Parts: sequence; C-alpha cells; structure tokens
Amino acid sequence: MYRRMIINDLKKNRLVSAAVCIFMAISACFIGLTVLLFASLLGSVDKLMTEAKTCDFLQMHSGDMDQEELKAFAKTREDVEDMLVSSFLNMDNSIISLNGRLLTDSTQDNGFCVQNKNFDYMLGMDNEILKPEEGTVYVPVCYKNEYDLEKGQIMKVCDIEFVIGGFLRDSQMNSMMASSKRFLVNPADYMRLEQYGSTEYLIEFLIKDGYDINAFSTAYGDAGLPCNGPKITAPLIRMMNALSDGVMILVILLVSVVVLIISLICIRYIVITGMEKDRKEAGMLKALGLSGKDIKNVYILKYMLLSLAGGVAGGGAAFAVSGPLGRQMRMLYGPAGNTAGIIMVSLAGIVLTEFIILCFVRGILGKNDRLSAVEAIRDSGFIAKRKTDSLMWISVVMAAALFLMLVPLNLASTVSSGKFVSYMGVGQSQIRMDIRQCDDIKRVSKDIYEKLRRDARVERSALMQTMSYRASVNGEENVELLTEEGNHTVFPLKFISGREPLAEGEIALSMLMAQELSCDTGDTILLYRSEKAESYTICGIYSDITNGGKTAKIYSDPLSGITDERPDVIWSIIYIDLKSGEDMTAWINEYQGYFNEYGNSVKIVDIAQYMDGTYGQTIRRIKLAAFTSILVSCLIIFIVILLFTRLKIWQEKKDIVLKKAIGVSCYHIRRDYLVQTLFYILAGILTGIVMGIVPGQMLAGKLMGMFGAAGFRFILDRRMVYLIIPFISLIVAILGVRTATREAVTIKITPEL
Amino acid sequence: MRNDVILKAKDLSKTFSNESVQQHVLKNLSLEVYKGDFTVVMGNSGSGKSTLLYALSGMDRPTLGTITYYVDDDSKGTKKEEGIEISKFSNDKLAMFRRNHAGFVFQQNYLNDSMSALDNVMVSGLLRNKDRKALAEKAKKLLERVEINERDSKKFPAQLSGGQQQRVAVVRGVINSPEVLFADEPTGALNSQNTTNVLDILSELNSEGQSIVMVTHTLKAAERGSRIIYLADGVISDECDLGEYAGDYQDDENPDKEKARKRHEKLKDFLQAMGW
Ligand SMILES: Nc1ncnc2c1ncn2[C@@H]1O[C@H](COP(=O)(O)OP(=O)(O)O)[C@@H](O)[C@H]1O
Ligand SMILES: [Mg+2]
Repeated sequence: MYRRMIINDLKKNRLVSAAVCIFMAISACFIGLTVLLFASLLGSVDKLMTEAKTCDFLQMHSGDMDQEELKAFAKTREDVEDMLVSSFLNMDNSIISLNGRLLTDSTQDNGFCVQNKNFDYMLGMDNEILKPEEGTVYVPVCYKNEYDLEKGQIMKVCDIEFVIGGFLRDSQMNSMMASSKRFLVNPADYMRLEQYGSTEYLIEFLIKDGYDINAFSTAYGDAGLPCNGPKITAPLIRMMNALSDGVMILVILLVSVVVLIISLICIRYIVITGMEKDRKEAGMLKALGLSGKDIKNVYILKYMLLSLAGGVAGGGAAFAVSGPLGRQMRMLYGPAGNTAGIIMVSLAGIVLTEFIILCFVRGILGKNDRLSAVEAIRDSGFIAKRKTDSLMWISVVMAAALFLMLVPLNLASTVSSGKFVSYMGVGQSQIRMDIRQCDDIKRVSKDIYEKLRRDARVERSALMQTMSYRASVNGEENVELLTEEGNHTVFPLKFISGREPLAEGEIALSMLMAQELSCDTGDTILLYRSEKAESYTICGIYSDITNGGKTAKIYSDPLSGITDERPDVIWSIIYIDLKSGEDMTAWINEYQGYFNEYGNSVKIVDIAQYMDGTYGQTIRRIKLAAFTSILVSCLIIFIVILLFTRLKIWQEKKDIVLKKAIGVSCYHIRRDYLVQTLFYILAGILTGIVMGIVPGQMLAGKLMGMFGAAGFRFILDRRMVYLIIPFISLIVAILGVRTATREAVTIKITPEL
Repeated sequence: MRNDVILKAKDLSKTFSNESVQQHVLKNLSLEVYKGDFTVVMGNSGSGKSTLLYALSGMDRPTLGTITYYVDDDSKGTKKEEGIEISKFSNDKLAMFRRNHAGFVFQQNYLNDSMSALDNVMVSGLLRNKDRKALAEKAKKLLERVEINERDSKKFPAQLSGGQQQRVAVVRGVINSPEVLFADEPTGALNSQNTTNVLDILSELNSEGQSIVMVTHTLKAAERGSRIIYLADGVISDECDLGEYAGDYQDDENPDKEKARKRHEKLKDFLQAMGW
C-alpha cells in the first residue's frame, strides 16, 4: 500500500520528483567521477611503480664519486636489498630538438640514460622493459602530447639524429612536477653523446620490506657518502606522480563540492515544501493511527527510490565520462592494476553520496515533523504558517552558480592575457629574439643589439644575457645560480616584493629560488662572477616559471657590462617593441634574413604567436572548461529558479486564487513574482561576482604557486565578468521565473474558494 | 438500564497558551461513554466540542485528567476490565492505540487525494489487518453498503461528489471495526440530501452495535443520537436521553410519526433549556 502511495505521489509531482532525482544524479556523477579518476590514478601509479621496480631511496649527485665506497656501505646494511648507480647525461635544452622543435622553452632538465639492470626500469607503453636499438631513442611519454610526437619522427642532439622508437614511462620522473626527464638510448649511443652533456649520478637503493626508509636515509646522510643533489624517497615519488594529474581531479572535486551543496540546498527546499503541501494528508494518516515514524518511513522510502534512480543514472554517467577524461592519465601511467577494486571504491563513493543526501533528507524530515494529528486536522489559523525562505536560497544558488562560471573564466582570461607572461618571468614585449648555441654568444648578441639600436622602427629593446654563477648564502649553501644580466626596467617583471635590480651590487631572485635559499629582500648573497666573490644585496623577489622557476637577475650595462673575464654566456634573449604602426611580420622576416649566416642559433619570434604555440593547448583547454561550466551553471540557474518559483506558487496558491477572484490580472500576478525574485537574483549575482574574484583568485593563486608563479592576480576580462556573465545569468533566471509563473495563469478560481 | 462503560474521562482540563495568554477550553470535565450509544455532543461554536472529541479519541492529550478505555487489547493482552489509561501516552503510542480502537470522520473528509477511494479505505485497514484479500473483500462490501459501486471505488476523491467522499470516509472510519467511531461535524459541509444519507449510514451502524461519539450543531444530526450532551464554556451543563425514541427518522420539521415527533419535542425542549 505504501508502494502505491509513493508511486502515486511520484506521478503527481513529476517535476519535483524529477528535479530531486536529477540533483541526486548530478551529485553522484561528480563525486563518483572524482573518486573514480583518483582511484584509477593511484592504481595506475601503483602498478607502474611495481612493474618498474621503482627504487625506495634516490640520491642525485653531480661531481666525482666512488662506487666502491657505496658498495661497501650497502654491504654493511642489512636493510639494503639492492643498489645501483645510474648515470644521467644532462643536456642543455637548446641543443635538443624533437621533430624539428627545440626544447629551449622546456622547463625540464632533459638528458639521456640507458636501461638499468635490476630495477628502476623504463617501461614501454605496454609496461614492458625497453631495450632500444642503436640509433633509436625512447621519449618520455609526457612529451608525446606536448610536442605532438609520433613514433618514427626524428630527435636531434646537435647533429646526431635518432629515430623515435616509441615512448617510455619513467616511474620516477613521469610527472611534470619532477624537474628532470630521462630519454632512453642504447649504451653505444650513450657513449657517443657523452661529450655533449654533463654526467650526473642517480644513486638508487631498494630497501627490504619492513625496514624504515627514513632511517636508511638518515644513515646514508651520516655516512658522508656522495650527496651533491636532491634526495628523494619512494613516498615522495608516489606523491609527485599522483599530483601531476591531480590538478584536473582537484578542479572536478571543487565542482563536485559546489554541485553537492547546491543539490542539498535544492533538495532541502523541495522536501520542506513537499511536506508543507502534504501536511493535511500526513495529518490525516496520523489521525488514522500512523505514527510519525511510519510517515517518515514512507517519505524516506520515496527518496530512497529516487536516490536509487539518481545514483544509477549518475554513476553510469560518471563511468561513461571517465573514459575520455582519463585518457591522458592512462597514457602517462598505464592501465590501473586493481580494476575491480577501483570500481568498488567508486561505487562506494556514489553510494556514500546518496547516503549523505538521504541522511540529510532524514534530518529535514525529523526537524519538520512537529505537527500533531490535531494540528494538521484543524484547518485553523492557530498554526503559524512556516515562513518560506525560498527567495534567500535563490540568492545562494545564484551566487554558487556564478562562482562556478567565473573561476574558470577568470583563469582563462588571465592565462590568455598578454600581461600573464610577466608572471612567468618573461618580459612583456612584442618580439623576442633568442641567441643560443653559437661560438661567441657574447659578441653576436652585442652586434645584433647595436644594430637594433640604430633601427628607427624599434621603440625599445633590452638585451638579457644568462650565465651560471656559483653563489653562497650565509657562507653555507653553494648553489649554481642561473643569472640573467641586463637592464630589467625596460620590460619589467611581476615583482612580489621589492623591485628590479638597478645598479651593480643588487640581485633579484625568483620566488622558488628565494624559498630554496630561504632568504628575503635585504639579505646578502656572495656571487662568484669571477674568481673573487662579490657581495650582492637582494633587492626584490619576482614570479617566474621558466627554468624550473629557479633563477636570478642582476643589473649590468648591455654593452659594457659583460666583459671578457666573465664566464661564457649560456644564452641571450633580446626583447623588442616596435613603434606603433610598424609591420611586425615584415620586420621579423627582414631580420630573420640578416641572421641566416648564424643558422639556427638566432631565432626571432612574435611573442603572441610563441605563446599560442607553447601554451595554446592549455589555454584552449581552460577556455573549453570555462565554456562548459558556463553552460552547466546556466542550466543549474534555470532549473533551480524554475523549481523554487514553482514551489512558491504552489504554496501561495490560495493567495493567487484570492487575487484572481478580486480581479488582479495574470499579468500583474506574474509581474509581482518577477519583481519579488529580481532583488534576490541580483543580490546572488553580485555576491557570486565578488566570490568568483576574491576567493576564486586565492584558490587559483594556490594552484599557480605550486609551479612558481607567485602573487597571482586575476587579469579580468571586464566586459565578460561585469557585463556579459551577469547579463546572461539574469536572462536565464528571468526565463526561469517566467516559465514557472506560466502555471499561475492556469490556476482556476473555483475549487479553492 | 445502561450498557457497560466503554470510555471514562475524569477531570479533563485542556489549556491552550498562546503568547502569554492562557485559554482554558475544557474545565475539569468528567464524562462516561457507554457501549452501543450514539452519543452526541452539542454546544455553541467555540465551546470546546472538537477539543473534547480530540481528547477523548486520543488524537490529543488533555492538559490534566485521565481517559480510560475499557476495551480488550490484543497487542498488550489486557482485558477490558483493567482499562487502558491513554492520557499520558506518547504520540506514537497514541497512534497505535487509535489504529486499533478508534475510527474517525471529519467535517472535511480529508481523503488522500493521490489514492483511489478503495485505496483510502485500504490504507486505514492495513494498519490493523494484515490479510489484504480479506480486507479488500470487507472494504468492497462496506463501500457497496454505502452505495459506492465498484467503478466509483476506483476513482480518485476529486472525481467523487462531496456526499460520496464523505461516505467513503465513513467506511474508512469503521473498516477496522473500532470500539468507538468519532465524528466531528461529519455533515457540516454537505447538502441536505447528502446529510440525510450519511446520517442514515451512521444510524444504521449504531443500530448494529457501533458506539459513536459525534459532534454536531444541527438539530437534524443531533436527533440521531441516543444521548445528547450539552457543552457550555468547557463544562457539561446537562444531558438528555433520547434512547427510548430511536428509529423512524424523517427529514421533516413536523414529523407525522409519533415517535419521531416526541423525540423532536424532547430535544427541542432540552436545547431551549440550554439556551441554544
Ligand atoms: N491549538 C489551539 N491553540 C489555541 N487555541 C485553540 C486551539 N484549538 C482550539 N483553540 C480554542 O479553543 C476553543 C474551543 O475550540 P473548539 O474545540 O474547536 O470549539 P468548537 O469545536 O466547539 O467550536 C476556541 O476558542 C479556540 O479558539
Ligand atoms: Mg469544532
């Protein structure tokens, strides 16, 4: 009988039931998707690390080393299962090209290695242990998409050509967050390459099960063994792997949480109004002898049915969508090991979501079940009608929807804005000229720079020369500092604190570098620009994501500053702005002609084009995400407003009938609803804009900070944020109200009076 | 000679407090209801009739006083001589009690809009009777008796006339064979023809032994009672016994049948004395 009651009720309130079901489905879908993707990622990473036999402890080391000493150390330790020393041939990015494209803008340390003997294998796309033939190279799989690579294309190191034999998964350095990437070649090829790079060592240990890695790490440090470089343990490797694709999952999680909250708000409202509507019938049932618990159970049963349908639909959608969304992840880390487990966990996530919603519904039912049978039966004015708070919730939902639209949108507008490059540690200019890999970079750059100064079409230009200096802070640290010299005021960077260096003796550090050296503006650094150390004061800290985000800048005169005693310049960059009205393409072509004699070593690019080439893919993806979330949010706004207004009309049916009876026209009734709602819609929109900018910026800033871009501020597309988005939301909201109030017109006068 | 007492209310008080204003609706009221009686409660509007009915039927708890039913209770296995005192029961316990021992008919019929007439009866029946088949038989028979045919019983309340709806409600009220059927102005919203119709059904049920307590403020309905209680200002001012004149009910203000006329006179006199 209860079943029949429920079925009839569902039939009668089709719209409301469908809405509840949809909210349950959407929540289940998003949460299920988050769990599914995250579990798959962990599963894939785990499988990859097992199959590749990732080491438990890794010490990078550059400089001399004594393998015998290490072997002796390993022998004394009962917790060491195996050890190996793998060499990594670090190359300058500017001499490597993949399918004709130089890796100069890569933020990674790229280098070569050969397959290891007993563990830390580089695996192929089927997780097989790769054995490259002579003349072939295996490329880290993360470059496949980034550089649009195919098997059979050519990789060049200086003049040595390799055929790309395939792609490799490197369980240690697969993540874009790991700063090195290993290319795998045959041992014979490795020998040929050795002259072009510098060798680093990866000292790796496998620790027996049950022993503490941290204890080993400490013991290694105390033993005075080679340790010039970072030290990493398996848990950290696992975390870096998990984090790399985790950003996307984080975004989905954010959306899931917002969607769940919106769903709960809507469901709460629907349940309360539903109970209000059923009050008489429920009271009647109580009078007949149903207990409050019985009635609650009927409701719960009803919502359980709905949540079952919602859970199945949402779960199905989650599994369907996870395929395409997880493609990149599967490519990077391979298939996950424990598929059944992953499905179980995801199902558990979906069930848990529905369970949370049901508990929530139960709570609402409990709270609103204070009406005794008599109160329900007596249709008198004794029982104060519950105040409806629907309008306030309209504001809340509007705000949440706008937040959901604006965060991705602001991110997109920021990233695609020209000014954004200054966050990346690149001056904001129109044209950039790179001078690399030629015999005398110092002289060539000076010549070009002087030529530019005589060119009347050039508005301004700045020459930046990068060298590597040894530096020490507090007499302790001894680091290589990639230092860019030049006049940094011409094309200023984004400074988090302080300012750019203006004179000799001043140095600016990138945020990550300053963090690594744990120093701040005002501190001093000793810099070995020649044999003798010179003291530099830190005058500012800037945002930078180039070269792994760890760089420094000092002032020097572009023409006289860099004398011959200085070490070699590694590369130079000239930033150029043309006078307005000059034809940039023509100018670039003309200059490219002049520099033909230098071959490939001088490159001139239009920055806008360059940005599009390098980050276009990412920007387009963010834009797509922004567009999608605008659509989804509009849908949410429409459904929620339609629903809330409609429920409100139901509640106020009597008033409407009365108004109609005394001759108020439908037009006026509808207009009244619109006017009433409008205030709350506008309030919601305003709140949403503020939230989308302020906390949204904080959120995005945290994300960007992980990559070294500090002091992140949204660069707003004002027209979009302040005009178009609010306008669209307003229109959609009004459409929702109008659609809902159409029902008010159809309410008949007779039966209610 | 009276029948057994089926329900005994002692020193009932009911006080409503609304924002510091206290209203004493029932004042130390005591009453016994006898098995097989058609007890009618009359009184001015606002005198507390409904409040009394709700308290007696266990829909609401009195502020003070006791209400004892002398009925067998299967669920507890108690015999009627022991009596069940319900005035301190929890809401759920009261609900249990109502489903087993009390039936209801209200002024507005309060049928469940989303269920057919038959289902409305069944919902109530299933609370007590688990044998669905037997119950459906019983429900159909009762509905036929009140002239709701098979086709109409499948209709939803909104598709039935007010009289039909109220007849369905009466069937629902007695489907569990309650010890007492409570009715609060069951004809208040009906036209004359339907009123007679419903009253006839109630009279018929009473003649078969159904105890009924009915609140009304019309003479026509009150006439059906065997015992009239007059409520004024929260206390019983007097009562009048019509038991000896039961039967021969007519719609006429000036009935020609001897019994009906006498009953009519007696009731009128009584009400006049009450200042009605
Ligand atoms: N829930 C309540 N809260 C406050 N006052 C009430 C409540 N229910 C009834 N009353 C008051 O009790 C008095 C008696 O009501 P009621 O029993 O309905 O009278 P009757 O049915 O005789 O017309 C009325 O004055 C009414 O205002
Ligand atoms: Mg009343």
